[in-house]
Amino acid sequence: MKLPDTATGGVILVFGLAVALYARTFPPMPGQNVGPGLLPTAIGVMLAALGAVILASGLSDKRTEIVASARWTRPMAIKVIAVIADLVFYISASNTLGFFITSFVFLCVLLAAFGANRRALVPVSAVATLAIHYGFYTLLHVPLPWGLLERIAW
Amino acid sequence: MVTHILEAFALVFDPTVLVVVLLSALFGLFVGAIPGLTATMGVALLVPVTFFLAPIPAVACMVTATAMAIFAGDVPGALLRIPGTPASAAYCDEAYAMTRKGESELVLGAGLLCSTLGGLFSVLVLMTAAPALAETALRFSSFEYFWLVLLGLTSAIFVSPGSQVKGLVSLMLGLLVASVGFENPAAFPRFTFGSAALMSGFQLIPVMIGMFAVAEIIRYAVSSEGPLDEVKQTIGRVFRGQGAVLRQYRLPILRGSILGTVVGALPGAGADIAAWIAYGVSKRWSKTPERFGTGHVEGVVEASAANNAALAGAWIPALVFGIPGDSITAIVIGVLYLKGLNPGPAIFVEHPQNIYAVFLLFLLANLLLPPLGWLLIKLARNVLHVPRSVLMPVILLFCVVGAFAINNTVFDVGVMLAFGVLGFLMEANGFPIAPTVLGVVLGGMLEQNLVTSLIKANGHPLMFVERPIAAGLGVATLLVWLSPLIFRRRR
Repeated sequence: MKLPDTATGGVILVFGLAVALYARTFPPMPGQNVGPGLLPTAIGVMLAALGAVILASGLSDKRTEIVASARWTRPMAIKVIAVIADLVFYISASNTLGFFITSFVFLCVLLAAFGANRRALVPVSAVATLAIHYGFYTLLHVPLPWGLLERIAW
Repeated sequence: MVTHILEAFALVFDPTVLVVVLLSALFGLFVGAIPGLTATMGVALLVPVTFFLAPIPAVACMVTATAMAIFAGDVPGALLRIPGTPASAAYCDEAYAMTRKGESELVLGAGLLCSTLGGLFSVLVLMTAAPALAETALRFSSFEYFWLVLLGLTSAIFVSPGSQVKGLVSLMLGLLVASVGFENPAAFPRFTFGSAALMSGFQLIPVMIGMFAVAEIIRYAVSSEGPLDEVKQTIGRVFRGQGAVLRQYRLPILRGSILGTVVGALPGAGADIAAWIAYGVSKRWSKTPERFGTGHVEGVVEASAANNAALAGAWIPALVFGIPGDSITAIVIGVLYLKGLNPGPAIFVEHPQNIYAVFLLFLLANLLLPPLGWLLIKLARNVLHVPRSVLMPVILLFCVVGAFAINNTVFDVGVMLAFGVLGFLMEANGFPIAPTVLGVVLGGMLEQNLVTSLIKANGHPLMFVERPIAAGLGVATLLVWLSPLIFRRRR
């Protein structure tokens, strides 16, 4: 995912300005010249300046970067989307569905997306879910949610 | 002192600790040998486990796993021409060329022994330098610490490869991440946008797991995996003829060990950069530079010593000042704080037995390297064929649970995802990750010492350079900043 320098530079410039302006609104410490806004303002100004430098070098560089981004193929995109979508699914569903169901689905989807052997999908997902649950819930006492399976909780 | 050393022995040679050492050694060998799993990622994955261990076993876990992983990365480099960790990338082609000539035993055995020697050398430096530095550091005030942190951040920018402008952007992002929340000198909630979860700022561990593990998994997802270029041959006696190699190249081994320790101690540069520099230095000073690239063991020997030496080197600033020497110690520092073993000169005075225990663990890990490394070389065929399409999803689930376990909230899983995507995008666009991590770890320390110093100085900026050590550190920082100008003019 190589973006042209003009794009990254521009984003950093605007982001830096926003940080600096927002940090100006932080109140100073009573009786002092320095306050919580000092460092964030400096960071924002630095980011804006660096963004401008990257933007300028991108503008003076005549080569187009389109070649680099064209190397993204469909299977790659599917895999990356699967990783992100799977994580979003876990974040939003684990409390209601519980660890077992969420993790099992999580693994099946990702294994399929990564092209693992089809016959391995269900057994690998089941064994890995049970193993991680045993390690973290039973051995390390992490309160992994039970969700729908609350009734069989141990 | 003798009682403290005896206490340290008792801490380390406890059955639990020894079991932890053995298990993390096997974990480290596996992580290092599988391409796409790096030593840093291994440590990030260990964090949730260390969370539930006592301080010394937790440190044991991280020390042993990294010492093993850096060598283990050489194995797929030599056999498949894919470096197992970035630290083996510098001499991967050379090692593979030796395998093609039928010398896989020679290159792997030499790499193993030189890794051990480099590791032991830097542990000895750590054991002598750290207590001496700590004694000086006890007298530091906020002025010295301010300059020290600034010098550390500066050298991270100038040591890291690639564009320094992009390195600076990475650093600024890290500092910005560190400033989120109300943990600042004025206790004012910054950049929380009304979110209660952000009040105490971003937790270090989910950020690290995101940037080092999730980003790596996304990188694996976009890599096109070709068929493996494996050279089919049986591996014979690994240690045969190594005595002659070690004798012939004793000078490069020593040079690599020194170089690795120094590069490791510089903030922001770790084993991978040490190996690149050592390989280059080896070629530059070799009597037969024309043989480099054709399957010549000299560069491999020096760079292997250097990348393992960098590990203990990075612990010098980490233990003495709380300034990480590489990405691994950045994570380690986070764990040390969680464990109440706050790094800094005070720990050398108050709990010297813990420091001696760390030294002992390093020695133990490096002494375990030859037998366990030999085992890995013998079993390499089986380890290298574990399908990564199965491994990566399971590791991702492990990351999720690990990030969750720190505070038992899925908010941290979201933080992990966000920083994973950020880390992937940054690396893909030439923004190095190490300065960001350093910024996240050191942001609070930088701000606290800056604000304290400004208040003490009360409008007199010369106070920043009044004390001799502060002045020296200030001059050193300025020199690093000016170095590109000086070198450019000379050219």
